[in-house]
Amino acid sequence: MSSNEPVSILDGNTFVVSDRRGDMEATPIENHGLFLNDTRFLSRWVLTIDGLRPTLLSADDLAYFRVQFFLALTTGTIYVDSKLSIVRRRSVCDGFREDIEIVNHDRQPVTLRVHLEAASDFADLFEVKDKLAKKGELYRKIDNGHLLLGYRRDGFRRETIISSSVPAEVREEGLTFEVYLEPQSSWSTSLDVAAVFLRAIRDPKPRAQGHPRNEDHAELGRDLAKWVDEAPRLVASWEPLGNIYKRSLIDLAALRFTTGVTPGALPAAGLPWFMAIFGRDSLITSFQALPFAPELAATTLRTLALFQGHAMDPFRDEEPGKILHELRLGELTAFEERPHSPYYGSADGTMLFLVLLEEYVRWTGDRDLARELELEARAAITWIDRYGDRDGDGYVEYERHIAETGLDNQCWKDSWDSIAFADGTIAPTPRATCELQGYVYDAKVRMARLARDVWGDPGWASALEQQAAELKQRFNRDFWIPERSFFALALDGKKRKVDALTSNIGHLLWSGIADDDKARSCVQHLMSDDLFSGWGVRTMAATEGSYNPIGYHVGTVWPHDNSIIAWGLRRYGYKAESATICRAMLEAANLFRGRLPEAFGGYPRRQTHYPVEYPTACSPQAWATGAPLLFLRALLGLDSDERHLIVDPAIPEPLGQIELLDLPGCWGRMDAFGRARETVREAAVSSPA
Amino acid sequence: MGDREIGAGEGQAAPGAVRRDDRLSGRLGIVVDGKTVAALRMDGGGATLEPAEGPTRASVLVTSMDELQRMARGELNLVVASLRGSLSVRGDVGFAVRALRALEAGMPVEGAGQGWKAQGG
Repeated sequence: MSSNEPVSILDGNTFVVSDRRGDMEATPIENHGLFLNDTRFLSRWVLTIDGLRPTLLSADDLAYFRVQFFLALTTGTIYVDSKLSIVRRRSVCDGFREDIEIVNHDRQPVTLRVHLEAASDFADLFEVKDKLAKKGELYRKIDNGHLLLGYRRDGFRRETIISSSVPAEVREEGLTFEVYLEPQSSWSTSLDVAAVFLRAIRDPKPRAQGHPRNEDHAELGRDLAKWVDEAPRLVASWEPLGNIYKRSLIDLAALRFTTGVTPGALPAAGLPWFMAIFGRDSLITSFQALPFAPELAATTLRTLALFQGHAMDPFRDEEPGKILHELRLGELTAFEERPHSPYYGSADGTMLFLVLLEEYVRWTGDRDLARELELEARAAITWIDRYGDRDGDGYVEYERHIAETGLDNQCWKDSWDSIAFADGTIAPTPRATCELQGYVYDAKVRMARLARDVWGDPGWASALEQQAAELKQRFNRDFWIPERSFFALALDGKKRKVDALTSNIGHLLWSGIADDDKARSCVQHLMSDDLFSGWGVRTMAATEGSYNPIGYHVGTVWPHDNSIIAWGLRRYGYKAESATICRAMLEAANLFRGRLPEAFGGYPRRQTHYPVEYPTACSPQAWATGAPLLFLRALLGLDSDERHLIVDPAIPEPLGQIELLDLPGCWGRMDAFGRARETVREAAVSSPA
Repeated sequence: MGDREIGAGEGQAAPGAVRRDDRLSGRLGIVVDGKTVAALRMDGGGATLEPAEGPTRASVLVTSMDELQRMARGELNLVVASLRGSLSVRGDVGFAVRALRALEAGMPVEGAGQGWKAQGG
């Protein structure tokens, strides 16, 4: 970790971002602060002692929800020792608690003026990103010895209450402590920073406001230990794999959050911008984590089902049966300046919902959940046929209803320039990207199984199977580009094939929509130098007009994308190619100290000993966190037939032996073993000379 | 938003919008200004407005009955109302949200006046 990298702690959608001294100084380029429910409750939090900023000695991330900063008041010369050391211990919970301890190491007493400067801009996360001005009124007051920072705009009221365990001089700009320290003695205080939501309604039984409490922090610690303990145990001969696995488990634990509307927790999409319910991200992460923590999938499915679309609402891109894209809770959502209440602008979430539902039932044997969500599953299929296919051409396509607020691209590559022809020309909307059709095919095949086996509706099952078969036939005809031997990225608004070579063809393997002969060609492309960088499959091939190794969706390597591709390769029997990708990505993970970022540069591995970081990648990001779990599944060939655990390993030589013990599933708990037998394409993963 | 259509899309019935949901069973108290003023008995396929007396699975706290009716008509988004401080729920939150979503989707309410009906519904 570099000395400038911020320190983040979080629990659910509460997170605190500071510099490595523990200070928060929000600026347009520094996204520091206390954030809760998409609102920044504290934007400035600076510790000074006698007007000086302490110097960092070290920062320890003890757990995802707790950090310690070791500081000293330095003398400015190496010849005179510092006489004062400072420890800031911070933990998050509906705000945060910070314990500050100052130790006088001198033989003389000392008098200190300790000051905590505090301020809040109450920025909506969208305002932070887009640098928008506030429309309401900020206020500050001192209330019963507490510093209260507030914001009001009509009925939208948020406050931050700061209090100290020892008496302080409280002013509107912060708290000051006059401290007298005997030689070799210490002074400390505990500061509570609580985020408060105020409502206009009278509540006969008001709930306690969210002040952090010691027992909450202890509970978080116990919860993390339990989470790690209950996950399958990994034994691996390649040592870094253990670290990567543990990092994934811990990050996944950190990204869980509860909504209160359904039991359990589901994964948020990523820190710092995406600590919210997302359809696509939560679904894919739950899919990746299914063999390790199936309870995430159940909560994700239940929560998304509850918010399934039921109206035609152009502002929110909502349609009946559609699964949401993103739910936000900040001011701009409250005043409908953003459509995220929730926003439904993703075309793939509905199919992925169905895919995950069937996968969950097959892995866990929990047919009750399929029965519980039958209504939503049927509504989702109806959405695919009636609303997803906007023009009745048999393919799902997307186009936002409102240009000012809707997403231009509603597939996973949702940046503006991601869907382009080989010459770099942006494809006009509506766009029917290829992986959407694959997801539809997969969803219908899977729903046919549930219709027959669980819902007792063989007629519907047959109809779905027939629709899926017809779609597969059509797709292999309409999307195939014979002169380049791969599937088009999309059909554009004029039904032209968007002919750029991209990683999307790997998703077609996951869904099973590609004919076997065409799949073979796609595999050759995926493993070619044009797409495979040596670290992973690029989002766009280096030969294409829009290619940029640090372009968000036009050349970078995305771990989650690669995990889906690796799993898809297994589906079509390309074990060695799958293993090549798994190995390369795990080696990249090792070089990222066990934590794969959202995306990294698409530079060829022969040019660089290290994968090149992408400048603004989210980390931890949920589906990047889940990627190593799906790589493990692919390496061991783990699957379920709703009765037995299927193990079919394909492990490349350097990874040696892998054991996953106590895998949960419909069989209870079982172990899976695998050792290297396959020869992977060593040339593709060789390091530069 | 003004161009929102509840339970209908481009002149056609919207499948999946108003549907029977057997998970929706129980009473939802309606609390206005700190007082429980009525309850909605949910039976999966519809709701009945009835007097407040009796146990409830959950309660919805609103600033006025009109606000609740606006939500049921799809004129006031539930998440927006909650964020702006004019809606809260107590008790079985999952049940309450499911019930409110069903009302928002156009679930019929017996024993209530025209104020509960969706535009064009």
